[in-house]
Amino acid sequence: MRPAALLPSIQRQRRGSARPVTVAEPAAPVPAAADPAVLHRLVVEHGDAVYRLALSVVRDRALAEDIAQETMMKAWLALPTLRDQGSLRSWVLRIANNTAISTLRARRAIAVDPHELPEAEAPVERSVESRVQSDAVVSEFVAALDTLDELSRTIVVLREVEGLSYDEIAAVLNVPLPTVKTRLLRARRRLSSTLKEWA
Amino acid sequence: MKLRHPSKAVLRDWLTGEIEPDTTDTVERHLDTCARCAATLEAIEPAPETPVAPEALGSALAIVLAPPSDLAQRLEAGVTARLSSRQMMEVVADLFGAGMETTRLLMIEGDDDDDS
Repeated sequence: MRPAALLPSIQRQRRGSARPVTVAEPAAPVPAAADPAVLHRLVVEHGDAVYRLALSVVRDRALAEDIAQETMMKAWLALPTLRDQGSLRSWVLRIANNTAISTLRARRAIAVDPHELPEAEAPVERSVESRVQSDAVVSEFVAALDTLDELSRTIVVLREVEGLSYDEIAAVLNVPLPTVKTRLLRARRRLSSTLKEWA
Repeated sequence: MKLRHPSKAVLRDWLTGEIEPDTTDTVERHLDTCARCAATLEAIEPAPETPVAPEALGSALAIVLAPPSDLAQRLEAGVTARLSSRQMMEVVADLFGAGMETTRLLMIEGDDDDDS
């Protein structure tokens, strides 16, 4: 077992390192005394972004929550291996994307009937503001979102909701920069065309 | 082999989704590496009826992808439960000298038996 002293606190982040972020899978043994406070901060600070990314990939809320849970466990256990903890957000999002893509591939591999794949989700929890919008308007936006491929959905969410730079998105998703730019351009055009009726 | 540059009409079709899946793959592979076509794409004017506030798209996405309000608590509880399960597997693996993967498969099989 790894000594508890090796488990760092998020507060003790090393900054200024130029090392590339690498995603390390957690080592096989479970740390004897993984700090619950570290898990709490991971979940509070990154849980929502991880869930949104997962949902943008798999379009199924229950599956997105499972992926978020698995991501948090991997990140919590592997945190001691993260060299540049200033890149924590990108690192967690990369784990989330890898986990979501693996989950989706596994589902597709076992799904003989394409109807067994996750259904595109209609929004089930909406803010006060959104409740004044007609269902038809929201549905049109969701339908447009579902016309995009997983990569494009993820790119537009990381840019427009999470506020990542193009370079950060390329690093998180491990895709070339031109891919980020062109997919984002297309996603913005397609989705924006449905937003005329949104207040 | 270097792919030929797609025409502006093909790029416009790719933007709007009015393109065959096979052609989509070809165009996307080309756009992954071609700065010239990326610039051409940006120069294609959007439909005139679609201007929206810059923050509107992010707001709409945040609404339709909104997490459950108690997500943080659920994630913490879920991770803690998974970790307990994993620690239990380590104990079982130690007791019987089995590998973790073997133990996991045996425990999953046991769960299935319980369900049936």
